[in-house]
Amino acid sequence: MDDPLGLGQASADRAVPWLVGAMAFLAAIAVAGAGGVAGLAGRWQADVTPTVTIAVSPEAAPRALGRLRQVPGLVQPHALDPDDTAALLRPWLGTGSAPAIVVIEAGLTADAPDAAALTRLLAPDAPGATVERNDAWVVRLTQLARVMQALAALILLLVAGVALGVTAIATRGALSALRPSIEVVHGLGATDRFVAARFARRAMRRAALGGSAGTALALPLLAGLAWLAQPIAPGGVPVAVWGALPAIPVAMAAIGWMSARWTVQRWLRRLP
Amino acid sequence: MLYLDGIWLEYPGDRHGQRSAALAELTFSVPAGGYRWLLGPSGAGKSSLLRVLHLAARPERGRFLFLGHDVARARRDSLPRLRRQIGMVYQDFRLLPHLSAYENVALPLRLAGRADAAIRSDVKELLGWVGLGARADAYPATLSGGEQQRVAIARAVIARPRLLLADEPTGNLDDVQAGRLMQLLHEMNRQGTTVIVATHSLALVDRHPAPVLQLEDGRLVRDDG
Repeated sequence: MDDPLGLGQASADRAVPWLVGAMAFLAAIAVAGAGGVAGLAGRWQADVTPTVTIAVSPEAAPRALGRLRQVPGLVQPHALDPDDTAALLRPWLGTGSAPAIVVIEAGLTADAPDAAALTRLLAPDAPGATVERNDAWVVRLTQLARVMQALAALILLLVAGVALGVTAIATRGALSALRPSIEVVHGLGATDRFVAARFARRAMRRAALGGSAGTALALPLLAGLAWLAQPIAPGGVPVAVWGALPAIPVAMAAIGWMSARWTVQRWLRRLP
Repeated sequence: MLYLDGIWLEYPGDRHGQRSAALAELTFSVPAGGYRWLLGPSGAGKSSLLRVLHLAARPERGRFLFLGHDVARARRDSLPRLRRQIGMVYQDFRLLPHLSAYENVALPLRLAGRADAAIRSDVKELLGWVGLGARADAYPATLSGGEQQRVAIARAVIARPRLLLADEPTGNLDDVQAGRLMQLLHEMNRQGTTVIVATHSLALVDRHPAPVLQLEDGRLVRDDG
């Protein structure tokens, strides 16, 4: 006798697998989206050695170099050979004229100042210096990845909250419908834990069913999106994301179990 | 076994918040192995008293000692263990409609954690005794009123409770079945179970003389104990 309370006859929780399934579908897309963008940013970051190029007038070059060598986060600032500079500027200046600027190049570490800060720093020694970081777009992509991850975390919180609420409301409906049976079983000496465990087990199974179905339905969509993103992300969705997806039904099952258990135990306190 | 001292139980307040007493200043005791008829007109408080004795309602005032436990002050989570020492036969049976007669009767033993094999033999024996051996798999909706009452009685006594409470237990039984039920109650009482039976039937009381608790307007007006 697995069902002394008649939970199988209660219709209040019929919608739970569908709603939890929809939440799991959203969660799978959020996890894959955040993971995909983070993976892409990481890959591009690894491919680019961050450097900065600073164009100054030939007169200001020695002072600018001296100042730059004292800035933490800059690695080996050095002026490019005039021939190299000429070669660099040939597309714009042609072959006839010698460049009227000196280009200084330096490597960057994580604590390097941004371009605006470097410009301000050089202003007294080399007014009009032009500073350009080659990793500006990678930095922006990294920021985008962080925003996506924050959004995904928000969506996951929302999804967990909705799953919690849906299960709690369905459980309250079932409690009202089954109140006569619960009172009889309570009168026969059932503990709150016994009653709550029956509800929690059923809610867990139904949430796991919905969570599995929702996650499974998201898989073809994710595979399609990964295929579309091939040109910019040849690796597709990172392996870690595929590994994280099975955690969604498990999390949904745990949320269903907890929500039902809390709801039932709180409700039972109205009985003596 | 049972000791009540100045027990008050109030009905929930009406829409003006006015509360009225269902039981007022009830004081009596019943020793272990005692037998009492609980008498009184409708609305006298018999069902309220049975609810208090079954730990289904906690009195607002007074002391209620059951098996040495002060029920009014006991922790809520200690009450299920005490409830398992009480068998209750409700006037409206309160069988679980989704369980067969067998499963209804087996439920108290399952809640007490008894093994399946022991449950099977005890339940079959008791269902046979109340004349429902052939209807063990039937659901309450397919049983007659008398059959349902017999299932309810079997469920109340299956775990050999220390206290047996019954609210009009013979109301739906024919004379033969009523006689068998009284025989069962007396046999359980002889084996040490304290029995309290609420009834309107003075004929039943005359046929089976025992001390009486009589209520009127929530007050105890007779205690033969």
